Amino acid sequence: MTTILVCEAVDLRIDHKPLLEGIAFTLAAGELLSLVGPNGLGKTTLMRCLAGVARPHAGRVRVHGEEVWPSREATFEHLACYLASQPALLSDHSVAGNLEFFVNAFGRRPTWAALREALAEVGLSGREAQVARTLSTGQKRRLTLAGLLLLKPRLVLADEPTNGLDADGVALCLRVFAQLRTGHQAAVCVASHDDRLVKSSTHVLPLERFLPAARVRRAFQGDVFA
Amino acid sequence: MTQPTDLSSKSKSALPSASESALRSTRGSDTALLVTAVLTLAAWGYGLFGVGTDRDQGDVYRILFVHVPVAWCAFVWVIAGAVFAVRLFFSPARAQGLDRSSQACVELGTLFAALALLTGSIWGRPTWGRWWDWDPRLTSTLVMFLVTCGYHILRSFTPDVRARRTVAAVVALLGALNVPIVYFSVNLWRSLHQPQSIVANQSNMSGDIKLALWVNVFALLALSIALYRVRRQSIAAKETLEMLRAEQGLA
Amino acid sequence: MNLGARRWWHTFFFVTQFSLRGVLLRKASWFGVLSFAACLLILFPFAFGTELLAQGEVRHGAFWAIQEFVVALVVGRVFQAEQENGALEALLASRAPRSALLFAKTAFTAVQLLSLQIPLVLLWAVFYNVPTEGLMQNVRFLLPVCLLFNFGTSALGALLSCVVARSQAREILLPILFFPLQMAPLLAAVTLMLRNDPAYEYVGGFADGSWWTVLAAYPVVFLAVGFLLDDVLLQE
Repeated sequence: MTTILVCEAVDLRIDHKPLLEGIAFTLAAGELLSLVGPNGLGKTTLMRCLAGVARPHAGRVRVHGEEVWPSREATFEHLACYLASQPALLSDHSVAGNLEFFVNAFGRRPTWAALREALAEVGLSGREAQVARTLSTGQKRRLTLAGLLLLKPRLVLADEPTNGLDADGVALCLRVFAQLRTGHQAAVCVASHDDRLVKSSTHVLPLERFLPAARVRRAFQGDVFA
Repeated sequence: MTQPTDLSSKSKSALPSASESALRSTRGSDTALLVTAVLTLAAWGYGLFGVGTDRDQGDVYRILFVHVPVAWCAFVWVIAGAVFAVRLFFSPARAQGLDRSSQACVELGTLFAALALLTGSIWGRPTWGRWWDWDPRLTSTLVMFLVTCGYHILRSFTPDVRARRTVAAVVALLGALNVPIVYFSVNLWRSLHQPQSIVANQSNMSGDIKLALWVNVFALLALSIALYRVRRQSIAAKETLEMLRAEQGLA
Repeated sequence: MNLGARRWWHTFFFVTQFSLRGVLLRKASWFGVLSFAACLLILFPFAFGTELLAQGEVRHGAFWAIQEFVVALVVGRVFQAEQENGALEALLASRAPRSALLFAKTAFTAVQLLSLQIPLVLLWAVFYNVPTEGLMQNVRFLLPVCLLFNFGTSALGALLSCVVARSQAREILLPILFFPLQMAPLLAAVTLMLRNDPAYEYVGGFADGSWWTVLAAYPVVFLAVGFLLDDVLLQE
């Protein structure tokens, strides 16, 4: 199976404080990987590093064989979509306008028919002209799922994708991920507390195993004044 | 910089030599600071008592021996800060050390810019009849001072360490780039400042005044380098302590 | 055109298009800035005294000082629409060329400033009793000055918006950093307008060419800096 995402010895820090160390995993086409762990562990930070938005302290991330970190050669021509924990929107634009924005960001131009079809699939049909600011959290989340359906990416990085979704919405989210995995050989990596999502994963990675091994007292060996 | 390591994996003899070299380094900086301070005081003394009175400005001109070196140091250290900032973009692996150097340089630049404005104002009062005139050099020094103040405020308001290094480097670079543009603009706009005192192969100052000026320039430059070393070490020690506290916080 | 260049131009046009659309959707913010500038236009004579308005330096100086306030407001919101709900992060994660994003925002901000300057010039001509005999010549000359001023200012503003994006107290930081770096184009714009005002006799030793150089240098220098540092500026 084609390897889509490779994470090698990634260290995460917030300022000087180590969060997680030595994170390593691979994700192949068609797989759904859940990253699990308690609040504040660093799931969101890791997802942002995988998406290329935040720089890890150390380590290597490759998507489709192209390096995202440290050398940033990846152009995502194969399309890797990042869904943040808060749905990314332009508040003043319409639902259709936001979808258009999302797709254009990847260098694509959606047709009006394709936009409407994607919105209908996520239960937002008839809301094309509605201002995004007036949508509920769940509706905003559905809008981001519509973006995935339009783009059909090879890699989906989703941070808490079921936040704000009702039972139907969660089912929709799982359906969209399954559709992308089976129909388009996409790999999906999620950071989630949602049991339903974790249970439907092909792999689960508890991030606690990457907590820094700093229970040993350390002595500083370098030059304090360097 | 060496990473913290497990105690059990290093021999005890490694610890004392690291501390000793650090102590030697700081003692050396303190000595250099003392020596250059004495040199600067001697240079000022030479300017005050070793050179005759100016025909046009009387004894007021003697502030030249403080104002000009201080102004030059301001520009030198701001440009040095920008050079370290540019190197930071090309060598991200050494960002930590280069950022510390850049910060120390810009701090010195800010200090000397403030002194240049103060001494320039003091000189201007008896010379021009007012505390401030919008002449090119003072104005571009003022603008540079404001940008360096913005640099420090930006650093203090940016909590993330890596973001702070990057944005501070950008501002240091912009500040240095802006200096010649503002100077050129204000020079076009007006000029009441006297013509440049030191011009290559031409001078309207007597030889002894020029000599005293160069002596003061080099003395103050030496003092500023000693100050840079001390400040650089202080910044490094503070950041190292913060880093160790953050790491040891897990123990 | 290769794939990279095509993607660059696509990003440039679509970001500019969406930014313009955003202003049209939220017209209140444009009117708000215009009202603010109009209030300043009216306040200045109270501070200077209306007799001083007869002097060319005061007329032109006040116009450009008000431009600086307008610029500070507009530049402070370069990325606001995208930052509000994480759309900027989505844009960065999509690997859209960052220099294209920066250039698009510069172009859009410059156009937005021009759209505000047009009504302001009319108000200025009325409230500041700009002599009608030279008005059309003034206005014709004002257009290229405004365009260069706007592009230089927008390039600098977009750059600094990225710099302060990850800092606290952004509202204070941006003016502190922006205004000192803005002095040169301000000087150039005021001087060029004074020199070309037929109602004003300008006494000065330097030719227009030098001032045009200063005005033109700004967009070139700061767009170049933005292009070279785009990865660093828009990166966490």
